[in-house]
Amino acid sequence: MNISISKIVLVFFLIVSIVGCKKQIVNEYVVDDVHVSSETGNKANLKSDLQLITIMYADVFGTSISSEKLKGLNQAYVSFGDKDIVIDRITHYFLSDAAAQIPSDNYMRFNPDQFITEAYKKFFVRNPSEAELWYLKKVINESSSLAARDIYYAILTSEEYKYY
Amino acid sequence: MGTLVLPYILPSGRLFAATGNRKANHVVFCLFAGGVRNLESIYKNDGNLMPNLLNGTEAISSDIINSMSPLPSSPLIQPLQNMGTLYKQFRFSSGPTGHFNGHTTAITGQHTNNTLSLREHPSFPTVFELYRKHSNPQGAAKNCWWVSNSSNLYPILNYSQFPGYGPEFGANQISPSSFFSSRTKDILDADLNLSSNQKDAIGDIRNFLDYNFGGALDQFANVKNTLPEAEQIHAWIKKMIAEYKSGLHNNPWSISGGMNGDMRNVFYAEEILKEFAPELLVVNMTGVDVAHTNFSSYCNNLRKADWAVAHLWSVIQSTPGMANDTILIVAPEIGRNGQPNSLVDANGRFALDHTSSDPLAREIFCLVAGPPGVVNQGKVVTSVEGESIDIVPTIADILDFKNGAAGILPGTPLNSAFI
Repeated sequence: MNISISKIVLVFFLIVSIVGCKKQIVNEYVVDDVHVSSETGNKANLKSDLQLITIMYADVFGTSISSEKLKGLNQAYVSFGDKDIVIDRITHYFLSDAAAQIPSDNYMRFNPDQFITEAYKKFFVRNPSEAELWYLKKVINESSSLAARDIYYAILTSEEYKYY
Repeated sequence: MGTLVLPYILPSGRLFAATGNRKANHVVFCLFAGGVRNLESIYKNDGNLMPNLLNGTEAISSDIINSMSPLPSSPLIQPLQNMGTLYKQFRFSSGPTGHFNGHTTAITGQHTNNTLSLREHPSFPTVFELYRKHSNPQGAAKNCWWVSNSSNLYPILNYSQFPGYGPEFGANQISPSSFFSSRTKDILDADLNLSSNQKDAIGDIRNFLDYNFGGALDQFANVKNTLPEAEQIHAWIKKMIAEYKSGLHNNPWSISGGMNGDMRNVFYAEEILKEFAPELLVVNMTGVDVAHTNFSSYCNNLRKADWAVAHLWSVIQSTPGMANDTILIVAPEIGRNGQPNSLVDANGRFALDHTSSDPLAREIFCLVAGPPGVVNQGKVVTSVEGESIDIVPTIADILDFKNGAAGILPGTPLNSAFI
């Protein structure tokens, strides 16, 4: 009995060693170098305080800011350390102004692709990615209380808007 | 059976009680700045111009008395020096005797020299960063304020360029007289009146946008408050603006002739104390710098600064969470020259500059006031003891973050002020 088991084991290792000697076929897949561009447009430069305020004003109102208005906004901006808080207040100020150029909520709901694309071009100076388009359309569809102004608010207070 | 222990949010905003090594849980440092000469302050050459801080009834010199504005009666029962220790021979021992140098030394605890940049954040950590980084638990931004009377230059003292520190540990800086103003009131008052659902949706969108943008670009050096802290600050700003617009900030102290810039700055510092009860607040004044051109106005502004500090102390003692648990440190940033310049005011008095070569420009005072049992009450140190670089170590000792600051600060705590 012990002998027959030993023979079986011996034959097994013999087969394995023969199979193991078989030449391996290696499939190599070569990918050419490709240039990957950032969806966020490779923005690497921080807008200066004045740039941020003047660009935001021009983006929201479609006109350049007056020097008197800029003085007040700059005064608020330089007088408080947490700039996110000041930007937030300035954004409230801009978007609550009746002269702010904001599409209607109906336009946003019935033309979400155009609304999102136009907003991205206006504020981020680029097209939205497919993922961004999908996500924002989903948010617009699911949030009935969300206004076009609210999307603008989120964009204007985002990190990307601080850069160019 | 296990026991569930929930943290308790203390009235001070701390999650846990401070360790027993703290001398008090709050420090207010009032930079009695602008350049104050010991001759007019503690030596009372022209009478007691600081009757709210200093004992004594010496009459103000007759030739300048008519240039002094009437002030309300003292907010205090007795002069502040009786609630603390007065260093009469304090020193600004090294570095140019400029205002910005003096402020930088007071806030960083480091000497400066002629290479100090007026456009860059300090080279060494500020007291705000030391407090926020080395407190246990770490100090929240809303617990740490730098109330600067000017939005020019001084705001950059809220954090340094020192490796390992910076805006992440900086103070909430505000220049209130500039921030709450006729020019800004409509800007700060505007509100989209968002519902909580809208706020949540906007927050989600912004997070998505920020995530897509990536975190690698972090050039936006900025003191950041957490979302709940930011919401409290927003609410406070709106409250302040509403009061401002309704005229409540026109002259809240009922000062005859109106409040000067120093008083307004201290007033807003008090509003911050009432709202946030911060553990560390630094507030400055600079009105006495009119001494460059008008000696009598310098004396008058010294009196106003004195009254403002007394009011500050009275508010501290009536603010829940801060009363009897706050140490107030008062010190000018620099002195003024012994030798006058050539400008003469209406009373025939010569004006005073502050130059590094004049020894009196380095002689200042320091008052440390605090609860009995913690601070020596009514003590006067007449010998040369203590200097500007000792204030930050003293604050570090009071709030118990001195171990973290070890090796950075050249000064030593003002131990003789404490029991």
